[in-house]
Amino acid sequence: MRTVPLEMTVNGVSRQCDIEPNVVLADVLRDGFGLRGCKVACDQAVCGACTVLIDGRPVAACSTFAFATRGRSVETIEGLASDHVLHAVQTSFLENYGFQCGFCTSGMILSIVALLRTHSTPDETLIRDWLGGNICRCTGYAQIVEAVQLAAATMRGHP
Amino acid sequence: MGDLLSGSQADPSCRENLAKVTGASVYTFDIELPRMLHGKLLRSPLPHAVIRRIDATAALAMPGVVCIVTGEDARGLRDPFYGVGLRDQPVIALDRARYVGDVVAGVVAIDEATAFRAAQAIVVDYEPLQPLMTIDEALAPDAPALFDGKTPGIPIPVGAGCSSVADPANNVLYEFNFGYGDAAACLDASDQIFTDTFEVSRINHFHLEPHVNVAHWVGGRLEMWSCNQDPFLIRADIARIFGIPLHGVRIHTPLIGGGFGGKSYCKMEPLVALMARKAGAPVRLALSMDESLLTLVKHPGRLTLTTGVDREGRLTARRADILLDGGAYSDASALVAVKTAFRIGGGYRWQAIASHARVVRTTTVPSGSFRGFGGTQAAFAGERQIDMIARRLGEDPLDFRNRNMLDVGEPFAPGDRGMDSDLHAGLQDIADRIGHGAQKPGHGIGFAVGVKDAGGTGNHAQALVRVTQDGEVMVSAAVVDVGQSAASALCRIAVEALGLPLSSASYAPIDTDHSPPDNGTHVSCGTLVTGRAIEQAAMEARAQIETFAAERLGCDRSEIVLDGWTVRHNNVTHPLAPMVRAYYGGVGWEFIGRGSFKEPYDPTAPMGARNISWMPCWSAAEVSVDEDTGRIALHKLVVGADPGRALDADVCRGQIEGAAIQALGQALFEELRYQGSDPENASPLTYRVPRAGDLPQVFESFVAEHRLGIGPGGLKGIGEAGMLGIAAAIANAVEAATGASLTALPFTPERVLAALDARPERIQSRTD
Amino acid sequence: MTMMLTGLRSRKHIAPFDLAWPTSVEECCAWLARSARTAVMAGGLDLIDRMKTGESFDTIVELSGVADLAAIHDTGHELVIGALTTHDLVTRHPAIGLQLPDFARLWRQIANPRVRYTGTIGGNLVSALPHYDALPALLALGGTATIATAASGTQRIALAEPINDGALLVDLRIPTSPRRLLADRSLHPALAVYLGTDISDGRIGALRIAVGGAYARARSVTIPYRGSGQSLGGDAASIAQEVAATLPAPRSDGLATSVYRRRMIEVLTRRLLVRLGSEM
Repeated sequence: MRTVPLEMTVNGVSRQCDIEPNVVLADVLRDGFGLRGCKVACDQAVCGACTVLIDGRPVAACSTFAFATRGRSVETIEGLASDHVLHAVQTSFLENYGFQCGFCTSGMILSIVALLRTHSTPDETLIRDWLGGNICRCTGYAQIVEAVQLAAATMRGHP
Repeated sequence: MGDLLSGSQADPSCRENLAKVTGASVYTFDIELPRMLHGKLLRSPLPHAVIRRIDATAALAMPGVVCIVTGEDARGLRDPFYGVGLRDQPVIALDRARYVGDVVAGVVAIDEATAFRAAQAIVVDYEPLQPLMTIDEALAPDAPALFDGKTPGIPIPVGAGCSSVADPANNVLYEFNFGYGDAAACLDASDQIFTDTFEVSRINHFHLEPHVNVAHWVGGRLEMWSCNQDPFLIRADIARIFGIPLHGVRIHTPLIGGGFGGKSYCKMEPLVALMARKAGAPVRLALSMDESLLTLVKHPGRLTLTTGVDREGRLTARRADILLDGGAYSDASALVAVKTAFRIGGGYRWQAIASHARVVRTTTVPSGSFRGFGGTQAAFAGERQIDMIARRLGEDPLDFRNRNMLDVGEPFAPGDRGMDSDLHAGLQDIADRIGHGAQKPGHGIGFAVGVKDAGGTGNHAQALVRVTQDGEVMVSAAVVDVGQSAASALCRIAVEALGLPLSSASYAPIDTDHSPPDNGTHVSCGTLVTGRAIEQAAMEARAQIETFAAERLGCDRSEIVLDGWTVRHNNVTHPLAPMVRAYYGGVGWEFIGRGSFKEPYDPTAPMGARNISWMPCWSAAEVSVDEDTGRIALHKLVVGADPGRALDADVCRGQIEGAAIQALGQALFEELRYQGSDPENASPLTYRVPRAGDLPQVFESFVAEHRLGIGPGGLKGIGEAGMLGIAAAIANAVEAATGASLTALPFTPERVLAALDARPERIQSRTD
Repeated sequence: MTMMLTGLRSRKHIAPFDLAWPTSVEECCAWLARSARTAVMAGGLDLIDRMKTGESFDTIVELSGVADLAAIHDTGHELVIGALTTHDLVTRHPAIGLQLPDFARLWRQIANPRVRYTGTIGGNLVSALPHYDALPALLALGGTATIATAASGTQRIALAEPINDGALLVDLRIPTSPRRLLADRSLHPALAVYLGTDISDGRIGALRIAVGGAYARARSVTIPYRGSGQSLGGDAASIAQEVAATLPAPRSDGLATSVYRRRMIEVLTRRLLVRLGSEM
């Protein structure tokens, strides 16, 4: 098996490596780059715990080959806060208790960031549909939905 | 509010919460040791088979394969079985595989890919035996015995009015009887008697972090990182299994990615320890979620309730015949049987109860602890039947409940503690919130009041509270945070007793070498049982601080007041830090308080100890039903619980709602199904769990603080409450809307349609 | 030989493979013709899942560089939708929104946004898992497919038969003459019914009813009809009965029995026909 050269940006930082084609993005992030905020739960692209953003779009890192990110920009949970300031979604999760055990939280937050970047005033129907890609077994979702609405309001207030 | 990354000022929950939203939290899933090897398991594809021979030659010859573990290795253990009370589950299959998914061999290799390829190369010679896929198949007169001989261990010790028996019959693991009064006589004397049978389904915990362990032996001593809620139970079990002293085992419990009972008691820990010992190197074994689906489930079963009512519509007695499908191995089945039978009366007043539960062995995934622990099964049957009885009597189900519900202080059963929630007030609250009497045409409203005992049976916990010279507090106990914010709650209790700010407290990492023990994180006992121990420890530390200060100031302890990290004496404030440093020197001193709590055993109480508290759940549902397809539309769901005192309103809400949505899943669609002897949907794609889109149109929860618990400030637990009664409330609403009677989970459209068709007027119209 | 259950699903089980990055349909076909141990990859969701359970290939042919597979255009009588079109693009591409607004609207319901960004309509059609929507929706729309092989070049095929492993799905083609597509997915994944029909001069042409979830592979039936919207409402019950009787017996599984599915095929078909009639 031939390795392939990979060049992409992760959280704004340019990365280069040679990777084997059969390695998925989740393992390159976790084992290659030490970015362990990306958790693998179902390993079947169902639960969304491993969600990261590629060019702003949510993908399941457990079911995306690393080579598919060549030339693209990857965002993980570790890159969300900037200069020690949390992203509005992270803050709203803290304020509205949008998590319990936290295992789904990295993927959940990134998924919501993608939502709010494309829809600044999502209604509850849209939020529930969007969150269909993220399973949480702990919260029952209501506090998460509220956190999304809170974050949306905050983001609208600070253009 | 954005600038939160300077964590030193933050309170403990803040620090951990911050880690959760920034991807910094460390779970067992993330634990890595240098030169760590990787394990993979080979599982039986057959539901029941003799393992004649395992040929691992080809696998062992593969480069990178370190060792292979089979039943032969387990036979060399001092005691290769585990289970709660009754221990019939081997560390790895010995001579037989007893369910599809039963572990037959473990491979240790340099990486997972190698381990997987090696596992595929192992050849197992099975001799198939007859599968026993259901309770009825297992109880058939000619059914083969799933186990030979007496089950090791002891049946759960119980108290007054109860009997607890192991192996009462072929393929019956355990039988429990609970009763008081003369149920037969009361039923005979009743005005009317109603007998109904209910069926509860098999569901899985589906915690997102699968079962994962890392084990390492150094100099004959085992060190393990385990996502298990019961580090001290694991320590004890491993010591017994391997025949080594307790101190030969050290368990670390990192943050856990969800448990719900699926990570209680022994799961993979003894096997990983065995694999690591044979490999002579650290081993990580991480199950896939598919494997976790085949590791443990909630007990499915059948409950037949015979309930009597007198002329005035008062409940007289209930006889309950409960059959629980325990799956292939015991796990916590005996305990679940005890609790299901004990809880079958619900929150009502009875003259007599005769409750009889049996755990049947089948060749399916082992059943064990699941949030609610028998209480969910009992609440579904009980609360469904209450409604059915009320309707047959032509009564409003709310009135019927109010007449028969226990008042505050009334004992749940003779010899046990009195009810410590106002059940009537909660019922009124929920009736108001759902809009009782004001539903739209075609809609129906249903109620359920589930009640379970909480705090455990004779539970104990110890705690340490350590206060540094600068007033920093370290709280040490064995309660595991599975997402219920236990650490934060316990820190709150400690700082309240010390009069210090929450930001001064941390919760110590759980390490059986350092943490004071308890007997497990379950039954919502964390804040209640361990909270009492923490309170005591904090008070003791406080006494030490006050005594020290009094000695330094040359006065009596009663003359000083501890105020933050200072003491006041004669209107002069003395900071403590310099006082401590002056006496003890540069490095200073810690004030270390110890606390403990043990609910005594009491043979006069049915469970063998008085129950510490009661956990009610009031739920109400508003539904409409598509009468052509059977599909239920859940318009509104309201659920409430009473934690005694809410330490943190958000946490309580999260516990109630999280549990309620799990229960909603089981009520409407979630189920681990078998097609013949094969698991049909044991994969994340096909095992449907609730998602955001499954929320009812309107979903409301409430926390009612009745402050009657015996924990600090009237506190008790809340973790399991939301599970109780949701299914019954929905079924009751369906009957209110359509007259269709649902008695089996889940309420799939097909099942609902069958119930609609079975209504007398529907049969009539179809034959016209 | 009974399958051993070994460590089940894992991304770590994906066997090594060589990667090919063609830029043309011909190149893809050449790769497929070379060996049976070659697979093409679009969004990869289904392929990667199969590889996680142990299925292996020598070469994976990555399709993202083949522009011809992503093109969407209107030929004047047909809308051509490239196989690599993501579900997300189906929901918002202007040409699809213009010619097949029902299709675009329906597609917003399937899966969830994360899956819609990655999954492709071609991948969905080729995998054709029982509960997948592409096959029944396209059958109801009266669509066909273009496939390509090294040996035979490009060919038009009907959708009823599975697409051969060695063939490359190039695009889907749906006539642009006015048509409707309605669907009832309220019982998904146990069952979903799709109703399509051509409209000309305000009158309904043949009715195409497709059923997903009820069979190992979605089935459809075409009922000739010469009528107007008004008459359709009145005929709905009898047509639905005919549909349920014509389709093969649905399967029974843990989600639903054959009896229930058959009954629901009739119920949902009738409802769709009534709705179509009222919207004419």
